[in-house]
Amino acid sequence: MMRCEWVKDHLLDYMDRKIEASEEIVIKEHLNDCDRCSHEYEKILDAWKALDLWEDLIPPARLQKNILGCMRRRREIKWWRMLAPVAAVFLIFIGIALYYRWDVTRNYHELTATNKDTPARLHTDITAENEADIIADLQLLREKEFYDSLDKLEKIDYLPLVEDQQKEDEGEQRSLLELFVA
Amino acid sequence: MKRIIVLILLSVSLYVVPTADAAAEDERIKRNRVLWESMSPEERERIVENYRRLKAQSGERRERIRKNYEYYHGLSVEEKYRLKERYRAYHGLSPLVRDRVNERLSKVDSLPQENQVRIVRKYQRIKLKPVDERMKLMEQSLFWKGLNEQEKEIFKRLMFPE
Repeated sequence: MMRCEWVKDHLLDYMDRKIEASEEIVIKEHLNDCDRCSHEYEKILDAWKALDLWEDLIPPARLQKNILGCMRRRREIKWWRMLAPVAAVFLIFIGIALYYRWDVTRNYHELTATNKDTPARLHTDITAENEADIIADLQLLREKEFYDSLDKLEKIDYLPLVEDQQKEDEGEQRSLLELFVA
Repeated sequence: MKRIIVLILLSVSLYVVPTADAAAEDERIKRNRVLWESMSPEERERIVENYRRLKAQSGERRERIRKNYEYYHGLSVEEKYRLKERYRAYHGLSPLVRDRVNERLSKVDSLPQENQVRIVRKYQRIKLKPVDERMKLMEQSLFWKGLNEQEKEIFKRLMFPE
């Protein structure tokens, strides 16, 4: 029994002549004596013979081309299937955003546009466009003079430092203010 | 799926921020329009005049005024108050005195850019002091000592309007 197991394990090597001569003799003798193993051996031999009868058929060029074409198409479909929802979402968002922006711009023009009958209009030479500019800059225009002089007002603080520095450079005397900031 | 989420987030961030700004601007214009229409004819006349004056100014000056406007609106309440009071004091000066003040202020403009930066930096240190200390420091300056009594009164009002 033990020998049967061993022979079965080495049967393929025996057929391929990949075993040692001594082992080959042992297997050959066992196959002569053991019906089960010799039956197994014959089954394998038959299978090999059947495989040898098979021929490699070359498919017609047209069939080959059709199959490859189908595969390529399938791959392309996969790519588009993946991209389509992404593109759709992107387009929807752009559409919504563009609509919203257009709406805001339209509202802006409506708000700033001047109705000729409005009592707010004083000057005939002030165009609707100018009035829109005035409305847009109303806070600034209300206190234009203040904003116009703001940089000058800030400079008042710098004046003592500037004049002291100049006097010091001219060698008049040392300024205590300069001493402090130095 | 990840790509879709990233795209959604990207689209939202690209469009929500500008549209929110546009909505705020929209609201501001709406308020201005209401304000403009509720103004008295005299007030509107004054604003139209200011608009004409602004338009007549150079592009550089207009830009400067816009920067001043933005600068002012970024200041603290105290700073805003200080500048408003100073403006009142400056505006209250007679044209002759105002011209003399402007003449002195032109010294600041005539300084090279690097010196102006240095002066601003020096002033930042003085600015941190309380008003009474700043006033004492000013009284010790050569600038102050060179002023006559009338000028001292004017500059005191301009520098420490509070």
